[in-house]
Amino acid sequence: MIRLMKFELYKIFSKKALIIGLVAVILLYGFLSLKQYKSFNDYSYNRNEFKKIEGELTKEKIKLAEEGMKEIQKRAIEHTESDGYTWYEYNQEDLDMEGIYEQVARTEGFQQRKESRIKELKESIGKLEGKSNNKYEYRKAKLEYNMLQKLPKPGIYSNGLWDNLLGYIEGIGFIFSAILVLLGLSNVFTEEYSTKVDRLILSSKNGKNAIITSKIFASIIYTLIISATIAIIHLLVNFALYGTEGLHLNIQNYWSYIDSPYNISIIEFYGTQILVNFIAVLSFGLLILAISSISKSVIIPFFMGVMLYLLPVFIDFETPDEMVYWYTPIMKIFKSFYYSGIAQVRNLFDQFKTLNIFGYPILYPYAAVAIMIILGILSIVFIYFSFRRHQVKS
Amino acid sequence: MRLIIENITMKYKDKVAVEDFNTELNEGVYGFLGPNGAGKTTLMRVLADLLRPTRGRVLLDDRDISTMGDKYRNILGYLPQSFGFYKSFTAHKFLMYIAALKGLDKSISPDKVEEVLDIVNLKEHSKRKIGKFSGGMKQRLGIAQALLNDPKILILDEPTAGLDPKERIRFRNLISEISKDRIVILSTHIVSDIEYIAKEVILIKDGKLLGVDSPENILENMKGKVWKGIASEEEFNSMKDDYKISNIVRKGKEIELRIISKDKPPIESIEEESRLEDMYLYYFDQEVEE
Ligand SMILES: Nc1ncnc2c1ncn2[C@@H]1O[C@H](COP(=O)(O)OP(=O)(O)OP(=O)(O)O)[C@@H](O)[C@H]1O
Ligand SMILES: [Mg+2]
Repeated sequence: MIRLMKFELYKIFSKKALIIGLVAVILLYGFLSLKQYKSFNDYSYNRNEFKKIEGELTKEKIKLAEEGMKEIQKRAIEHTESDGYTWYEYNQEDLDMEGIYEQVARTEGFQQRKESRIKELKESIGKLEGKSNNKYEYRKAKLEYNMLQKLPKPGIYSNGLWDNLLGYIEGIGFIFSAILVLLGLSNVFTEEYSTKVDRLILSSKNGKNAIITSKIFASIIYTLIISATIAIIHLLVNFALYGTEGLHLNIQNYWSYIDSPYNISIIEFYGTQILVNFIAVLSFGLLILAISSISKSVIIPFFMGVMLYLLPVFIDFETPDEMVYWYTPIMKIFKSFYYSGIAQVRNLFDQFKTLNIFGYPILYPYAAVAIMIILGILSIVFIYFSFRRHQVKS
Repeated sequence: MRLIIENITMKYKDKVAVEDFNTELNEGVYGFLGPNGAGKTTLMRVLADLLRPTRGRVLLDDRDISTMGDKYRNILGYLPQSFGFYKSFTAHKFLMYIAALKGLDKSISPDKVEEVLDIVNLKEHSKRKIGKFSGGMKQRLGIAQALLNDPKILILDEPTAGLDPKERIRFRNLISEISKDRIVILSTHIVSDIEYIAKEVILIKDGKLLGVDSPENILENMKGKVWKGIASEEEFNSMKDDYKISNIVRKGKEIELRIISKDKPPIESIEEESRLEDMYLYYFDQEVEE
């Protein structure tokens, strides 16, 4: 088994197409990283002023921001030449400060919203308690309540430092991983058919059992290596360019996840992204293997893979008004639990979202992982079935 | 060991390739003989667990091979008629891969690989990439992989295709050497490949079993059916559509003919000693049907 697996891994890694794809991905990654770094540096903001206000949200800071904001607006109005238009003229310094003050206001707004949400939940829990007809709503409210209560207060922090780290997977990373998986795994089975080695394999002792297991394990290891390498490289690049500042802070401090109910830090969330992305991409890889096991030419699994992965893009047409009510929510759920949607991770964690499974609220991340595992297992069963029964007719 | 082919019928979509085929095989060499499209490859694929027959079954010592699974394939060696390799693998590496597929123990695999490479005379090419091999070398590598697991049942589909005469003789000697305690099935169009080594010849035509017999008996049956005679151009022209003529040698104005016929041909002719090739013509020449 181990020997066969090594051979299968060697076969996956020794493909020219994969090397070319890897080089392309690395170049593109490097380019995008530098571009982002440049725009991060170009975005000038008053670091020193920000330092004064950075950190926990306090009453003093809120007041300071409110007053500062008023000052800026006053100045802006003074500078306005009234020639019929209302046109506020800010100077750069004011603009910078306004950004900072706004962030304070936003953070405060969020904190208030969260507190009132907690209150609201408490009330509805009280109302729903004991009512037998709405167990799901009750459990859901309780779950959200417990999660929100655990969250620490958000603070005021510079977000630009984390854009790069957390933006990769949901931006381009989920495509890169899928491309590498497609390049590596599309011809795991078709190669045997097209080279006509299939008949040597299928007539050998291990050719209908162990070889399939070996190919599947080799594919899992391949995906793992790809995911781990990407994760580590991205982390190191990120450390080098942006440092490690604030990575221990909760993700609610990052604007994208300000509404997230999950009590995890930025760096923990990066790990979660990598893990969830790996599970989704692996499940997708197993689907590719399944298609590969019934395809005569590598073109079929590759292009079907591309189409399938991007399916949500293709079916996302302009929705006619009369369809919006049912189509949009269904699409939203479909996208959240589809291979590419899960590989993007973001939709699972940005808000409190649950599925109703027999009256129990299942949080999106758990549901997504479960779905990926189930689909993965189905693919594996299909692979065993189809390769074993492959008839050599050519 | 007893391998029974029982009522095997194999249909491709619309084409019946093998029809109601029955025979029994024991240790020794069997030669599948039949014209192109007769169904030899199809039958061999059924025997190699690569095709599920439409009807019928194959039994090894009274056990259905389809339920034996890897136990059956464990004692199987198979050389397909058309097959391939990974071009970037060396001969050695490819055989190591097949050894792993066949479940050979890790400790004996390298020696075993060297051994079969030696048998097919490819030892000095063992570290070369298969992509650079000639057709005959690939064929020999195919034979080598079939032998790797010391198979009790060896199925060789046109094993001598592409081999030069020297390698062909080597192969023949190899087969007669190893066939004592195994079932060796080989298909060929070249009758001389099996003339001296086959225990029995299995004649297949249009997917059906035409007959099974030892080469000696077949030759015995052919006695009195092979003639040598001298014909003029006119005589030859009048005969050539009605008689199976296995050899034509022009000698000046006259033509020396080797004729396969139950009855004495209408020219001056003498009986010749029969050969297996004459039998092939006798059974399989389509154009002349009596
Ligand atoms: N995949 C297929 N689909 C349809 N018909 C097929 C297929 N493979 C083989 N056949 C047909 O089945 C018949 C038997 O073919 P097979 O290859 O078994 O003959 P063969 O005796 O091995 O011939 P050859 O001496 O040329 O190798 C032929 O008529 C062939 O056309
Ligand atoms: Mg054939």
